Amino acid sequence: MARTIAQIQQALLDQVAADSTLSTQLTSTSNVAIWRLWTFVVAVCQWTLEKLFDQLKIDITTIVTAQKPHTLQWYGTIAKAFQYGYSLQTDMDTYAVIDPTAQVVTYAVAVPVTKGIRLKVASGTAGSLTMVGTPQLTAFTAYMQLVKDAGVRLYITTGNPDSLKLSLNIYYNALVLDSNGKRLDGTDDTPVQDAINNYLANLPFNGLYTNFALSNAIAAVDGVVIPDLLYAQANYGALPYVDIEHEYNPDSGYLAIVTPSTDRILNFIAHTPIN
Amino acid sequence: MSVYDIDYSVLVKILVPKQLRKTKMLAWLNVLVSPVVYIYNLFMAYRYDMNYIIAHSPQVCYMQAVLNDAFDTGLRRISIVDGPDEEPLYIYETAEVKEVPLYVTSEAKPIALYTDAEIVGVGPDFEVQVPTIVTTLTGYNEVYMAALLDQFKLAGKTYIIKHT
Repeated sequence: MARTIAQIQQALLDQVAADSTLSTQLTSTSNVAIWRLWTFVVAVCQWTLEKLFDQLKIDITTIVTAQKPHTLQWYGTIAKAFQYGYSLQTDMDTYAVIDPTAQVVTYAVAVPVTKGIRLKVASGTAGSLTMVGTPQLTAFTAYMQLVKDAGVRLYITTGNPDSLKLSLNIYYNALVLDSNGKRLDGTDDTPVQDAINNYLANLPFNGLYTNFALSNAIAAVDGVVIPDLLYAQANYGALPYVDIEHEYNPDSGYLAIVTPSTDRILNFIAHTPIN
Repeated sequence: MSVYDIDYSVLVKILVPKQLRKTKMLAWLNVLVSPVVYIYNLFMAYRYDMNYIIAHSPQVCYMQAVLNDAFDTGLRRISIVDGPDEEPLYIYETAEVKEVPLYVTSEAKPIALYTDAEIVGVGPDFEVQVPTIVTTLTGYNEVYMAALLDQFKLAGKTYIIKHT
């Protein structure tokens, strides 16, 4: 913490007063005495230094707190900063102009794998995610090769949504829904289907699908008494469907019911309200 | 020009009342503040170095910047790429029943045997590619380059300096 000019000058004057020789010679109390002028000049110069030291401390603290450790989350954040069709500033990891419309990688999650980091990415907005296009992915890969840490292996993947198959018995309150799941008052023809789609759309990217949360989302629909999940299956690529026992982490980062007519089987069974 | 730039001879002149601004007086005062100027110069050099260090991270773009600032200021031809990432070929004992097929030439399925340095996890994590022309420039010093790399790279990452 820098001292004031007056404090520094006073320290010099105190030194003079403490010195047995000087204190008898430099006795003028005039503020314009030449030796007081000299102490003033030295004090001002000293003060500039003390101020500069403080300023550097502030500057460095500001920069250091703005720097982030390069965690998995950081890789996700920097991936989403990618702008298709823009060149990075020379020797930097930022763009001169921020153009949100060029940010084609809207979802990115880094997961650790053997020997490196796997970066799952996707385009689009919540509920309508798509894979990143080929030219965009090429540009994105070149971008990540520049901004990643030297020596860290990145395996960048993007893909179609993992396909989800569901079969449920929906026990419904016959006063609210009909045997096709439509509301009797006509305000909504697909409340259960919408609840399922909403649940999938609102999963965080690379979020964990759970049978429990899906059932809860359906149970929250007015008129549903018991949602009974018969099976839930998922696959990605050309792999066979696997049964989801309780949870599933989508390989592409997101899940969708690709063909609702066959992949989402709902049997509506009337039931008296249980409470 | 920043808040850090100070010309002490000018500052001293400003601080002295006009009628006292004589050559002898100013010279004397400049002598008095010379220790301040000395520490100021050290401070500014330190500040420049520190700003440079904290502005550069282990990211590829910044490491390339550091190397090019040091060895190829004008054309900036030094680059950093990933190291080799070939998978090693394992061969097994008969009892393990894991055959490794070998093909004839007409099948055109060559199986490469890589050296240790080419295999992922064994070879270096990244390669610094230095064009041969840069290595002939005055001031090129690979020991200093290695020291720079060690200073800025992520801990635990290995590298190799390659002339291309």
